[in-house]
Amino acid sequence: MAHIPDGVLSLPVLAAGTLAGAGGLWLGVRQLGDRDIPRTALLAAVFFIASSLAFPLGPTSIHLLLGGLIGLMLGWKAFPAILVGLLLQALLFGFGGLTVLGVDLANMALPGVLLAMAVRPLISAAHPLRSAILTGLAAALAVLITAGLVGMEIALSEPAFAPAVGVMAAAYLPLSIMEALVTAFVTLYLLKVKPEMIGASAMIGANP
Amino acid sequence: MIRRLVTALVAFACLALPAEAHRLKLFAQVTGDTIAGYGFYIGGGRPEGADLVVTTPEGKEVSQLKTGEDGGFSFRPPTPGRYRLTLSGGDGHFASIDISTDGTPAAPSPTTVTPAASAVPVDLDARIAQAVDAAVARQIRPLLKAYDAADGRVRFNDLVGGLGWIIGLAGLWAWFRSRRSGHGS
Repeated sequence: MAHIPDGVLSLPVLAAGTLAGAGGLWLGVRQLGDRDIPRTALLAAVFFIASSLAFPLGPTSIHLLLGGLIGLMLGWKAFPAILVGLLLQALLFGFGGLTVLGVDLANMALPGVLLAMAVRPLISAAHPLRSAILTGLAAALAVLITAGLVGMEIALSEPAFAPAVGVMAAAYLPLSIMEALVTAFVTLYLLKVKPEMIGASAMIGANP
Repeated sequence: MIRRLVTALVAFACLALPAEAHRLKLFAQVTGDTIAGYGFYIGGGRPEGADLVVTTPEGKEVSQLKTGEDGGFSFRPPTPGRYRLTLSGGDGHFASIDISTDGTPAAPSPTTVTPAASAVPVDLDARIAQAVDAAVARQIRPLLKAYDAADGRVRFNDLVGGLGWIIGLAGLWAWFRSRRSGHGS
């Protein structure tokens, strides 16, 4: 899912998506300091593994995207991390086309990065439960927005292949619940162990 | 008549080459005058209840069917000829292949219109040839299936190889940074 094959998207959609992907990538690489390299590589590896393993579900097959979690932990640096994962998937497994790499990147990274940016100020180690619920909701919403973007891009380019809303909902709703749970638990854990990993204040008791 | 088998092989080759970049793949084989096959996902799983549209190479719709529980389908076209099968998973996944049931090449050149041959030839030789075709097709079907499945598997080796790439890229980037900022000297 969300890996669009080559030769499906029309040129305007392709151009717009690639621009969005390149813009995010530029912001991300600019922020990529020396100390961020291991964490970025680690999350690139997490994304690569998690989204390579797909499970069959009715007429489609689903896999984790983790856009929300990666956006939360990396900010704009999610773009280089996800790009590396996508590039390797395209080259090793033929998941998604090489020409649509920028579009796929924007689809998967942008919702997570923006939503994480929105909820980050409300996350603090002082309120772990509230923080976990917020990040879970952000992750679920990121999945749904990614699905919406993919559906919209295909519908705009090739109406004959327009995804069926029912199938999309059946596939992405369970996925968004799964991602929400994963992200919420990782948030709870990180708030206890290393709150600065998700940009939360390390000081317990500090007000957000 | 052995050409029918060759056609299936050619169709299969066409399927294997450009379908590389698709996550949903379609496998189809011609036996006699029936097209049968199945869709499958790279990484595992079969699309159950997915829409399969059969069209002529010109795009005229011939039939519409749904895949069964194991992603399989079987279809007997009204007349032998070239057909394009397009499978859609319903969420933006789709795959399509060209296949021919009358011995003409399935791939590009959609210029000649093939005459509709009778499905069961009258003379004995042709009938024997047809029976042999069917038997050979039945025998090599598992091989083709196994090859296609192997082609589209997410291999553990590849996953580990990808991780190696990520570590290597991180190292490269760090090295590049260290040279620029002079930490390495």
